[in-house]
Amino acid sequence: MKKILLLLTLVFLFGCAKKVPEFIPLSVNWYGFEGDVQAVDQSYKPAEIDSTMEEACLISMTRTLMEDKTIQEKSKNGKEFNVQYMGVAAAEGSAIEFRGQCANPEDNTDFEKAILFFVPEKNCNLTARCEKGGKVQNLKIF
Amino acid sequence: MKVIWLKLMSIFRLNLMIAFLLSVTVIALFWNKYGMDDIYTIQPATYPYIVAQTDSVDGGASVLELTRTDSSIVMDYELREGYPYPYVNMQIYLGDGKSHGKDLSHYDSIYIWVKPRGEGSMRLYLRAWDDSISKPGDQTTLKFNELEFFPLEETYPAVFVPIEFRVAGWWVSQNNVNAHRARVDLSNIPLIEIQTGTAAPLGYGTLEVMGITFKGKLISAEKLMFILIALWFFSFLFYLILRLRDYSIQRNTERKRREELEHNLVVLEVEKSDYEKASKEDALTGCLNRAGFTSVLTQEQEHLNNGGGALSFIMLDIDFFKKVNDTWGHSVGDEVLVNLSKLIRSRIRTTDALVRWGGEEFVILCSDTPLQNAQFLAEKLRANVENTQLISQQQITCSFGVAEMLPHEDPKSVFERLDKALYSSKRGGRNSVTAAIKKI
Repeated sequence: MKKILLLLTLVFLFGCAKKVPEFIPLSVNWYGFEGDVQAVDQSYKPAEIDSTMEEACLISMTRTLMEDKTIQEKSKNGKEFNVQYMGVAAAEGSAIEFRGQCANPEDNTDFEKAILFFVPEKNCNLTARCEKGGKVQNLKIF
Repeated sequence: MKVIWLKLMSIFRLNLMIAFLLSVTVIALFWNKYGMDDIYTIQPATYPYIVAQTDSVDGGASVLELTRTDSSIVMDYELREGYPYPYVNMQIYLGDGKSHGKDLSHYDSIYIWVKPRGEGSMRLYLRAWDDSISKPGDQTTLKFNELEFFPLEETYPAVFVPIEFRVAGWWVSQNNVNAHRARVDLSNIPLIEIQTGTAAPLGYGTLEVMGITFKGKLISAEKLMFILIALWFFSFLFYLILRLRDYSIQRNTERKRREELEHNLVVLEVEKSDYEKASKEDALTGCLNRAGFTSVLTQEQEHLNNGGGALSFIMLDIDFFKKVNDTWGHSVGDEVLVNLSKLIRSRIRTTDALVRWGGEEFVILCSDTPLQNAQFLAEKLRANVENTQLISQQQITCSFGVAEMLPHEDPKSVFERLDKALYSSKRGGRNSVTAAIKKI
């Protein structure tokens, strides 16, 4: 009986306890790719991106990454992300193509010039696209 | 003492003035009533300018002899036939005896001591010089202000008032004087005549003249009233002018004092503003210090708690700043701080606040900014710093931590998150941005 009461008290106390939100550090390194987009993917066609769209898409992508459980899980484990982005032609004007991966602290590659190759590690690669309107779609983590 | 006296005078000036005027008025009225006498006496016994005259000048035969005694002059005369109106008289000259005599107009009574030794009336002439009628050297042109009376045997004097005089009608007609000029005028009397009257019988007679006295007031009652009214009027006028002058001086003084106070107030406001600014600003970089940040944070927190926009913070730390100081000296370190703060200020909104958190740490308060936007801003700033030559000696980079404040959250916990995020950037190799994101 005593055990049941103790258990109920504990359940009650935990139930009433205010839930303190937990925070995770998310570190993203952004690289605006300046190389040949067709070298990345032959289906890509280069397109000019204005600064307004670039800003809207990067903010949108940041939010998308922040709200993604898989990314959060990786970040919790101390992973940083390198995200490369480039302007590509899309059905309706231009779009920004994002390609990202978990960062290797010892890798000093400048992804503004070098092509980002996906790493073999699971859930450490991502792609996404941001089209006109600044909304990120099709976030794929693999 | 003098100042106190002057102050008392200024306070009681009106009262004192009224008291003074009342005193002067009362004294003047009493003095006029019971004193202020103007008496002019002619003692024939001693007065030198007395001449005897008979009707012989007009063709008559009367004779006269004047005899002075100790107290009078005695006219012994005999009126004889010859001139139709026989007479003798005694002429008393005043002034130059011609055109400049004595002004007797302000006397209100005339006393004459005469003692007759015969019957009949006698005349008193106050002969007046009139510029429009009288001619120099011609005594007959002097106006005849005439009074005829029967002298009494008693010793007391005969008393007359000026209005009892009249201008002799025969003289008016003889000189063809118009009615306007034929008025009694005693303002310039060069000659007084005491003469036997129209009813004096022929034969011997004696007339003893002891004295003539004119009595009046130095200032007449009417004139005194006029003077007193004028005195009151001008005193109050003077007082009014003084009051106006005082008012003007007082107004100027108050205006100056007010201007001085306003000036002091402005100076104090400026000083207060300077002190407030100094107390809230970092002297080196011009950024807010922690005290300044507190007041901004309080406002922003209130805004957030009342359902306002998101509130995010960016904390940044200069990478290897100690090494910069050690290598290039503190002046170069200060240059880095100044140039970095300038760079950041040029890249953030005016609604954002840049705070020097301490040492080489800065915090940016981004109002109405969600976490993802703050992280984007931090990334831009990171890139700007990386691509800007803050000092010529070496390239400077910064590490960033970003966090968003939750409504009603204690600022301490936000800054703990910021610290952790910044630490994470440092640990991850510096020159990077880490956001503290809420776990789903």
